[in-house]
Parts: sequence; structure tokens; C-alpha cells
Amino acid sequence: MGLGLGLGAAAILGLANQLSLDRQRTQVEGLVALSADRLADMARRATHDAMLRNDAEGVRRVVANIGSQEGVTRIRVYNKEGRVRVSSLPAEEGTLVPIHSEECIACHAGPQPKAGLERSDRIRMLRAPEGERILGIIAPIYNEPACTACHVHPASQRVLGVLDVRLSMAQADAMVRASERQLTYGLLATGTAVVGLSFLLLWAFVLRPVKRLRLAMERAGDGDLTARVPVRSNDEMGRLARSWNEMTEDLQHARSDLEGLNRTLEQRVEEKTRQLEDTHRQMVVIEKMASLGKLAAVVAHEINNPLAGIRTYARLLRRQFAGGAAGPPTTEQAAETDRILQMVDGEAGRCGDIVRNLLAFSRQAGARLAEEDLAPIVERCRMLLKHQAEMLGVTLETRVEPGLPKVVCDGAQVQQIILALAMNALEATPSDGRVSIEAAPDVYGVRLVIADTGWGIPKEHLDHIFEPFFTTKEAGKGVGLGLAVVYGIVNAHHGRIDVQSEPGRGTTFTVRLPVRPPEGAEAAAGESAASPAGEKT
Amino acid sequence: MSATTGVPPGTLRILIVDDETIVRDSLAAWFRQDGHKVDVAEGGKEALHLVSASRYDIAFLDIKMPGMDGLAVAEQIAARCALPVVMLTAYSDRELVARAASTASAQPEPATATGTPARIGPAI
Repeated sequence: MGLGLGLGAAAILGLANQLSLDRQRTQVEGLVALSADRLADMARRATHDAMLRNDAEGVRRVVANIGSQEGVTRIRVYNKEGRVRVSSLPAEEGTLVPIHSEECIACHAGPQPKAGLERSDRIRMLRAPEGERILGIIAPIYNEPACTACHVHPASQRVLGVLDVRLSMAQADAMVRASERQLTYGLLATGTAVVGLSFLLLWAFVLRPVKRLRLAMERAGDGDLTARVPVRSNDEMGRLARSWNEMTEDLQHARSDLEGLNRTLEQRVEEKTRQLEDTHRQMVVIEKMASLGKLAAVVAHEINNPLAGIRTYARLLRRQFAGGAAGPPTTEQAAETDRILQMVDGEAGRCGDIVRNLLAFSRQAGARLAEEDLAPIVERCRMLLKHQAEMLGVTLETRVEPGLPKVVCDGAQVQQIILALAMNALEATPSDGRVSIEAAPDVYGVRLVIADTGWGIPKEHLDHIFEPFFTTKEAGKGVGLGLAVVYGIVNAHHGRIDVQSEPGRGTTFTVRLPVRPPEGAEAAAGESAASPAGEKT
Repeated sequence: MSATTGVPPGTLRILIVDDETIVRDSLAAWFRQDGHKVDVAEGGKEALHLVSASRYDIAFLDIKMPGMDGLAVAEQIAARCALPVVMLTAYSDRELVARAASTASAQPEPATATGTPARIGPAI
């Protein structure tokens, strides 16, 4: 913009300068022409008398005298025929000036020579071989009565000859050039000043305020609504800046209002979330208490029955011995006593199993986590189960897929999962059946699949198999804690367990474990362990 | 009370119904040692069958049993004959006890059981 303004101003000034120079040149040329004309006139008057006397020598002296003046390059007189009669350059005397030469052409251009000429017609501009400009002027020497009195000139002849004066333009041109230089310098100085001043004004009143506004807009664009622009004037820029400031202030207020609302909303959401969390925690506690109560009732039942039997037998035996049976007991009595004691032993053992499994069930919250490779765990399980599988005539297969990732888990508990599920599978499978243990990578992390070709689980039992003390085994063969323990372990590892079963075809348990427990999920593991509720598919 | 069955006087005919072998067998052994005649049943259906076939002086019924539970069996027995029933349970569930009590009170002749506690009491 500044450059355009500068160039425009320079062009206008340049044009004005050129016009002024042209005028000056014309004026100077006019002045030189005038002085040339006067000089010619003066020469004509000075030689008038000598010419009347036909004193060629007198004319030559005057011509030489005038021609020696500074700036006069040549002065000469030639007659009507064009022969040079007298010249300040004596060498050219007697030579003939052709009628079509530039000195003569002014009068002799047409068929009849002109007798009178305006000054402008008598002037011509020549250029010396050295480049110097020369102004030439001719002054006709008119016939007059004094001439015709004694001379040979007939009275009808109007023009007797021509006085030709040439003046050097060197001095005038130098003056014009100097003037041109001065004007150019002046122009440059003026132009620079105008452009500089324009730019300064432009910068001060337009560019700088616009730049401030742009920077403020960029800051606002980046989210800083405190960006203000100083209002320095009352013009359009000033009004623009004021409008901007008002707008950003409004925006800032709106945003702070919005943020305030947002904060309030966040606080309320947090408060509500806290309340919900408290409620949830209470619910968990209540649920836990309820399941503990249920567990306690079940445990009481499970243990009370064998204890009642044991007490009854104990009293029976005491009464028997207190009765003071004479002599040693009969074989029949001894056999009966032995049978009773065996039952007491068996029932006490059953109570012990229940307590041991309960302990295992309650221990599962405190898992010892480490990064474990599942392949050796699966292999250990295979070794442990091999003998039993052989005894039952069931084929046991294990398979670990390549690329199985390591899992952060309690290795002993994972082994317990596999063992419990595989033991159940073996017991639920007739001889010639098959039980397989498979470990494979899974989108969830890893997948443990324990499948059998056994009798399957009836549909109505599927919803209860993970509940503590639920068992379909004969009394004394299981206390119904195995799957509850498995469920608790899986839950504590943030995994999931699914079961699919078809009576007569077999059962498949699928345990999915994440490669590592989710962040900050430790606390939840113990809480959910006590309230198993299996996920069935 | 037991005139037609030919058992010695003072001897009771007792029916014990419980799915738990240890409870059933230990109680049976206890009463047999006392000289009573004891029949046992593992479940409700078997018990009802025995009640229909023979006469008993008292029946001990476990409340919690697979299939038909003790309360249902007691109701069925009450509908057939005037047999005193003692409900057994390992639960200390008040609601269950209340339900058992209401079933017992529905018996037509609760007085027939009055003589039994003294003789069988020590076992319970």
C-alpha cells in the first residue's frame, strides 16, 4: 500500500517536473532566439553603412568583431544567389550555400521566395558534430532607396541578401540541465518525504491499529478474551477498536457466567455422584451382609446335620457303656460300635472339609498377583489330574495355543480354577469320555476352556451352580463350594466365567481373564467375591 | 395305642424321615437301643407310603428335604391320620419354625402326642 502510494506520488511529481522542464527549455530557447535576433539586427545595423559604401573590408571587420563574441559560433552574410560574401570564418567566403540548405529553406520552400518571415520561421536548431546544440537565425537584408541610388541593385529586388547568425546553445543547455538536476533532486527529496510521511501517517493511523486489532483477535482466537486494543482516536479505527473491546468484554462476561454455571453443574454432579457412590457402597455392604447371613445359615445347616449325628452317636455309645454291659462286648456289639465310630469319623471329616473350603473361599480376596505364564500351570494341572483320569478311564487333553500372553494373576488361584473345573469335569464324565483343558489368547486377554463329554448339567441347576453349598453330588462327595470358590477367584481377577451345558453331550466352562487387572480396581475385588452370582450362557 | 400291632407295651412305633443319612441313622439307633420299633424314610413319598401301610405312634420329619419338604409331608399325614409329628430342622429360621408350628396346630388330635416327650425327649 505504502509502495503504491509512493509510486503514485512519484509519477505525479515526475510528470509535473517534466512539464516544468519543458517549459523552461522553451523559455530558454526563446531567450536565446531573441538575443540571436537582436545580435543579427545589431550586425545588420553595424554593417549598414559599410554595405552602403560597398566597403567589404568594413563589413568583414564588423562581422569578425561580432563573431568573436563568446557564444557566437559563426556569423556570415551571403547574397541573393547564396554566395558567402563575408564570414567570421574567412575560409568559407566565396562558397555557395545551396538553396535547399536549412538556412534557405524557410524562404525558398515554395515556388516564390517569401519576402518577410516571422522570427520563429527564421530560427532553426542545429547540432554540431560534437553534440552541442546550435541555434541559427537568418535576417534578410532588405533593399532600400539608399541602396538603389548608387548601386547596381534594381529597385524591384526586395531582398538583397541574408545575414546568418549561429549561436551556441551550450550555455543555455547547461543551465537547463543544471535546473533539471536540481528539479530531479528536489523531486526525489520531495517524493521520499511524501512517501515517508504518507507511510508514517498510514502506519500511525491505519497499520498499527490494524495490527493491534489483529494480534488481539489472534489472542481471542486462542481463548484469551482479556485481549484489549487501546483506543487512540475517534476516527473509524478508534470506533473499530472500541467495538472490539466491547465485544470481547461481553464475550468474557458470557464465558465467565457459563464457566460459573458449569462449575456449579460439576459440583452438583460430583455431589450426586458421591451420594450415589455412598448408596452403592451401602448397598454392597447390605448385599454382603445378606449373602454372609445366607452363607452362615447354609454353613449352620451343613455343619449342624453331621454334628447332630455325631452327638447322637456319642450319647448312644456313652449310654451303651454306662449301662455296664457285663463281660466283653459281643462281636455284634463290637461291629455296631465300629460302624458308629466310622460314621462319626466320616462326618467329622465332612465338617473339616466344609471348614477348609470355607477358609479357601474367604481367602480369595487376598490374591498375590504376579506376571504368570499359563503354560506351566496348565501342565502342572495335567500332571496332577493324569492319574485320576486314568483311573476313571477318561482321556485328558491339554492344549496351549502359541502366542499366549502372560497374565498378571495369582498363579496358585488360577491353578485352583483349572483343577476345580477339571475335577468336576472328570467326575461328570463316563469312562471312554474326554476332558480337555485349553488356554488361548482372547480379545479379553486369555481364555481357559475346560470341556467334557459328560452327562451335562440340567438346565434348572445352571442358575445355581456357582452358589455356595450347591451340589448334585452324593452326600459326602462334595460340599458344593468348588464352583463358588472358582467364581470368587475369577471375579477377584476381574475376569468372567461362562458355562454351556447340554445334558448327555457335555459341559464347557470358559474362563476369561484380562492380561492385567484394570487400574485402581483392587478394592472392588474382595467385595464382590462374597456374593457370587454366576453368568450363564 | 398299639393294640393291634403286637409290640410289647411301652414300645413305640416311630417313623423317621430325613434325607441326611447321619441324622436318620443316629436317631434310629438311639430309639432302637431304647427298644422302640423304628422305620426310616429318605423322602416324603416313601414316608407317606409307610404311613399308609403301617401305624405309627410318632413321626419325626426333617423340614428341609429335596422334593417334597417336611411341612408338605406333615400336611399330607394330617389329612390321612391322627399321627403326632415332630418337625426337625438344622435351621434357626423363625419364619420356618412359625410355619411348622401352624402346621402342627392344624393336626386334629394334638393331645395324642402329649405322652411322648418324656420317653423320647432325651434324643431331641
